[in-house]
Amino acid sequence: MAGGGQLRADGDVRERAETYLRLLAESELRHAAGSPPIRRPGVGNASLPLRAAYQLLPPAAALTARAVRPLDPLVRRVLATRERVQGRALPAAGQAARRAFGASSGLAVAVSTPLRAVERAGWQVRRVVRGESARRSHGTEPAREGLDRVGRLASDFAAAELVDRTAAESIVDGLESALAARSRLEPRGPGWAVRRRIRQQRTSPPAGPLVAIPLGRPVSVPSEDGPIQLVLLALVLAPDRAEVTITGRLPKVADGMARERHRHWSGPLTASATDDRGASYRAHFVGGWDESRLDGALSFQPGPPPGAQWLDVKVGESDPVRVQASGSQAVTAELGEKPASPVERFIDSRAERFLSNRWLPGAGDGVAVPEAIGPLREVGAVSRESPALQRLAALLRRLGSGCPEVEDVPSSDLPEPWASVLDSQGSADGPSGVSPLAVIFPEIDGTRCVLTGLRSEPDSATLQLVGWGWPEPVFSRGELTEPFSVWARDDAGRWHIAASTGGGFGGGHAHVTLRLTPPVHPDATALEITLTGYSGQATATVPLTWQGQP
Amino acid sequence: MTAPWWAALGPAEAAVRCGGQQHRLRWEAGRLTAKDHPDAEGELVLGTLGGDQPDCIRLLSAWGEHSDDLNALMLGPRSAADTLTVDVAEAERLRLGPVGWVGYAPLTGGTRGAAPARPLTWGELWFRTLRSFAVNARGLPRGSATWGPGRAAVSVVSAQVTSQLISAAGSRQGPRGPRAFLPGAGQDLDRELARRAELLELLALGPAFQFRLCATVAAAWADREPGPARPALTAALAGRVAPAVASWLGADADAVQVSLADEQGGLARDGDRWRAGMRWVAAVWGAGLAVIDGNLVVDVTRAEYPEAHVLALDRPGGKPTPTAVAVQCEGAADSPQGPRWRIIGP
Repeated sequence: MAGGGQLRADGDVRERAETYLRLLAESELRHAAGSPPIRRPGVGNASLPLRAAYQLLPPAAALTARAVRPLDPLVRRVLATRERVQGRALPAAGQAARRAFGASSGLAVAVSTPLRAVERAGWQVRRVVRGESARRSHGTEPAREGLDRVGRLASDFAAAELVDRTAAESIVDGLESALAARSRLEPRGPGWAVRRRIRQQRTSPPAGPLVAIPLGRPVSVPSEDGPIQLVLLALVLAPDRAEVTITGRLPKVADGMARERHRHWSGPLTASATDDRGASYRAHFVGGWDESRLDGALSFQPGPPPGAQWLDVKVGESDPVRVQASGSQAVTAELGEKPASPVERFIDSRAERFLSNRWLPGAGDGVAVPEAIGPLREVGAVSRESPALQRLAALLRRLGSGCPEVEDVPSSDLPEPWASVLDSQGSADGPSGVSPLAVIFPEIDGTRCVLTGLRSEPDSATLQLVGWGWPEPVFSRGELTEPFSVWARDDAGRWHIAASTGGGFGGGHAHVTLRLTPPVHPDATALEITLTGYSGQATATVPLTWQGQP
Repeated sequence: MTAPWWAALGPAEAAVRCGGQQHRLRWEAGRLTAKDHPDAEGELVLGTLGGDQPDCIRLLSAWGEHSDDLNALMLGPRSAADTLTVDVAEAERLRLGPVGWVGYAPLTGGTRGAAPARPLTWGELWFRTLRSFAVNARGLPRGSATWGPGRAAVSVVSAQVTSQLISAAGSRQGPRGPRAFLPGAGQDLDRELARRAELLELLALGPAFQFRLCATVAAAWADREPGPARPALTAALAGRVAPAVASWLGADADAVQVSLADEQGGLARDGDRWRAGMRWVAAVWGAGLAVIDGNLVVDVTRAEYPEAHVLALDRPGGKPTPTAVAVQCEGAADSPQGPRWRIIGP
């Protein structure tokens, strides 16, 4: 359930919403059942031994794996430890540790190698026998489309807190299983359930102090393709991690294949640091990049102790740069009033998608009413008097859309931020530069985050965010469901809406790049940033101190 | 309705592999029995205490476990024409459970990527997400997604991360590419998968057993307060009433509105809707009696297989008429199409 709070819609509405969803699933199943079933992979004319292997090996592999399952955690831990010890990121293990490690590593390999071999053999035989099946469809078109429709509405109803997340998933799973049981979809193995568990894992925000110090220090890191121009944005010290966030420009490479050599930049961006007490630390790069740009952080393991005053940070072969590690100058965002009801908030978030997505290539001018609006009205979750629905209707009319779903809904005035974004779309007057930030947001919807930098370009700007428990955005059919609404207003009066453009998610940690639309006003000297979730919203104002674009 | 819900359902048998032999499971009068295990109860107790459990006994136990499982109604057939293709192999695949690794989209190349947060710990996975209206995730070949501002891309797993995961964890590489570790494949997940596998195994016993399992579940809910299960029960009812009414009317099933009745009456027209309790699913639909010779059966009043006395509508807007029906030939209950009923008198 979004927001983690109690469902707030009326009980009858919730029951109608779940019934609607389940009846939709029934209808989609019926329609899909009218289409021909998918072709099941078969052994065809394969030889007898191959057919036998096809049937026997994978189950045998699975049984073997099951038998050694109690050993699995040990095996995996040992192998991972070996990787770490042999890798570059950690100092070498001590003698005793190496001896103990060597013994257990041997055990791990002894157990895991034959297991993998059996499993590989099983899979390889299946591949040989299947042949064409590797390219087969994973389901019939009506089945896939129906499942998508139910999935999207389930997700929307869950976001509007009309059904709880578990019930929504159960309905979609039920339909998918029913379709698979009728050969309209490829049946899924047990992996899907576990994958979902991973996606659902969210780390609680760290207990303890969160420190963020703006830096704004340029660094030039030599690499074989030329210097990587970085700006150290901010130092973030949390109980569970210590990071220096960075943004940078990669050297131009004429030959694309040359770039291919760098499947990742953790090599050139390996970092080290020494604190004022002489203790040294190693760090590695986390984040992402494209052809020319790089965003992320240098992550220290372990981090400096609380008493450290400063760090001399050396990135790759660059000269060391001294950064202060104490005396936090972070701006703390203030919690504001609780947002409207989840349904209203949901409708507003869908309206905001129109604003935040208009810059995307292929978005075009076509505007369609969000598909959940009809069902929301049908189950009585929203009426034509809803302020959010009236705002949406006003926006759609402003964008020239005559959607029948909101034809009877009167327009309200467009909120000032929305009107501002529409008025400024197409602007390309943003300054070029980077402004380090250190804005700490309070916990909202079980998530904490720190904004660590703003990078401005003529046609857009991006915010760098470090988060704990920040949910992975859900991408489905060309749309991204944002966990939060992020708005900014510069002191020149221009509003900006933020939307995720990239991010790394893992272990409950996140590095997210948020694109601001439209670009920052050229005269702006400060930015007011508001983050809104289902359980609350917080706002902070930060000065902009521009530095040259790396 | 005075007849027990199972009175119009004939016996059914299925052959199952048990201890290397072919054994028989028999359903009769609402009960499932293992014909080749005279002391099934004793074996059941032994199995519960940790002893070896023969497959027949395991299936008996599973039948009991799922006798009120609404998932059976979600997966099970909606009509005689609704054919399930589940087989024991699929159930077995689920029953064996995840072996600890699942696949993520492999990255087949490209110049963009992501790097891990630190030397990888279990369960950590890094990938990048990018939004775009221009790209439909399914439209992209697996692994061709890219990352970068303003680029049409979705979600990728760094090849670097993947390769580290593989080498670090000794993972296998299946036909769908690199695989990543799954932490927490814990007891809940095992139990969930085991329950799904059991249900598939029961459905794999064949159409006769599929209908009987659904009827058993419907009967279990017929006398209960629906509570939070009302939406699921309504959908289960609608999924079975709508095709029957639609075939009787010659209409589109989507146009048939159905609601769950609180009282235990038969199927009845209520304005523009059809109303029924779950007992209709158990006693009428489960017995394959929904539509007989152009008559819509709304209730069973008395039954002793292979004969039944029912109330049926012969035309829309008409009144239910007492009708006697009988199964055309013995043993038809086991056929994939279900028993073939015919009217033998008023």
